Amino acid sequence: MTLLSVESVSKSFGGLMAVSNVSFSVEEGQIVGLIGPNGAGKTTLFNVIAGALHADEGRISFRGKDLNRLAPHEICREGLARTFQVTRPFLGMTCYENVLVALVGRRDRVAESERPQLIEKTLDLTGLAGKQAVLARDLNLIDKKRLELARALATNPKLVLLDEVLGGLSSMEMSQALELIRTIRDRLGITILWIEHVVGAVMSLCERVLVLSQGALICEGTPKEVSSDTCVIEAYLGEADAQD
Amino acid sequence: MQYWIAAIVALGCFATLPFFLGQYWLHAAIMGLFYVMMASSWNLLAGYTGQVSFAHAAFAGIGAYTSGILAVKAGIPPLIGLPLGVALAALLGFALGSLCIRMGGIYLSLTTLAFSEILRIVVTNEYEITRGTMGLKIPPLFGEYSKTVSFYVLLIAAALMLWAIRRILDSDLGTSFRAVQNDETAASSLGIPVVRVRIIAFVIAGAMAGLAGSLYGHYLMLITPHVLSLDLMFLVLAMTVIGGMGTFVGPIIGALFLEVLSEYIRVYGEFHILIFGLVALAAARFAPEGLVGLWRGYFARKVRSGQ
Repeated sequence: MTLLSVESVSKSFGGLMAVSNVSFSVEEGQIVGLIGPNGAGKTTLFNVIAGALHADEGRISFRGKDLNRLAPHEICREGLARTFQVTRPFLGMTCYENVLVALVGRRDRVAESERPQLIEKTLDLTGLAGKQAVLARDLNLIDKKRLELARALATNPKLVLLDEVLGGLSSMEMSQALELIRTIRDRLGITILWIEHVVGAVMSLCERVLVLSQGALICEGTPKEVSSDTCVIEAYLGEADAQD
Repeated sequence: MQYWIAAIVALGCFATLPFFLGQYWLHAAIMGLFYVMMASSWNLLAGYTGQVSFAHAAFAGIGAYTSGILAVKAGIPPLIGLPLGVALAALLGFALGSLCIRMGGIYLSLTTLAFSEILRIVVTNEYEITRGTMGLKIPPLFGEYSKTVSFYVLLIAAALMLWAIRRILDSDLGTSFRAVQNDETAASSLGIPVVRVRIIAFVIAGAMAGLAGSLYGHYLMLITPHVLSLDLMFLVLAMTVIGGMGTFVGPIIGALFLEVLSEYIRVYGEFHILIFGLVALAAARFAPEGLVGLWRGYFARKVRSGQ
């Protein structure tokens, strides 16, 4: 079943076409990677889908419902959660309270009595067990990322948009994070659309990969198809290989 | 639980004050209760949702002048005028909150400051209705004037208001307030209706200030444009910041502390506001959580060194 469908979406800032005529869809249960060089428009596309920005043209629908005119909180309540590239935890609140906000924002009211358990479960899942009372500002980078993921999961989403969860992590932390992403899909049944710069990680985990370059979708397919596509190699992989 | 016991004990101690205090200090106690209401409700808006409004005294003025004018010009009993004043303050809170919805930080502060000043100028100049700076003589809230009764009325109002604020802070709305203050973008991405939450805060704080202002007016039985002046606004701000903005007890401590202090330094005239301003600045810079933060820090160090 198609969960998210993006049809000919464009977004420009002044004269800059950040996203131009992009169409794709995400099927339920998939992990879909979104890759592309810096400035390709990946985060802009995320912001348009999540309602933080409005598309100039095109149509976005989620589970058959039109998202175009909805505010970010309404989109979240439809079951589409997101994380931010630069983490945005509620710094002055504890980990427990951070996740509590997500429960408060939910459309299906979670009973007061069930909340502590649910929050604990979510924090345990993301590797923050025992840090309930720690202020978010006292967390290190990976824990901030974990907290942000915990919050997103606590909104009870059908689809999560992950924006560069691996950025700034050590290789050890990366493998933990990959394991977590797999768990979210396999155990919680949550579909994932994932922006990532670490191409190897995307190729190992995703069923499908979308490649964005200069605002346009230049290729989509299985990791194998994408990595052998000449356009992609030119736009992205060649450059990444050279850096490695 | 301990929390509620402490609150009830404090309330009980306060309730015995009229038996000890002379007329002068009883007046100071009543003023203290008025400031507790003003600072605590402003803190709900500024400390918990991050909307640093400078129109709080203006809302108190709306409450005071509404029930005052209705009593004097239309003969409406203050007990009926008071809820009307609160309602009007809430309504204007809704309007101002809606106007400021796309603004944050300094822009919101300046807009609310302008609103406040416009209102003050209108009240000062509409001499026919408000008697301008001469002041409007209004009747007491009910019955004959009595300082002791006024004290208990304000004590009950302040207690109920603090109880309501505590309940709000512990509710989902309170959690939403803090989320909005910390990061609006993140809050909305988690399903928090940021616009609605911000406006609700303005309405609640406006209504509370309206109530405090109206009670204050009927206690003094004379209202002047001073109620909605920036002097009062900055005093309330200083009390909140010095006590501890964004904490529940901070504004209460700050209000009572500065009220008592100002009685002692009253001889220096208007300079006491200046001193409070400077102390508030120093507090904002060196002790952002005010007296409450200093106390907590001291306590935490003591516990650590004890172990």
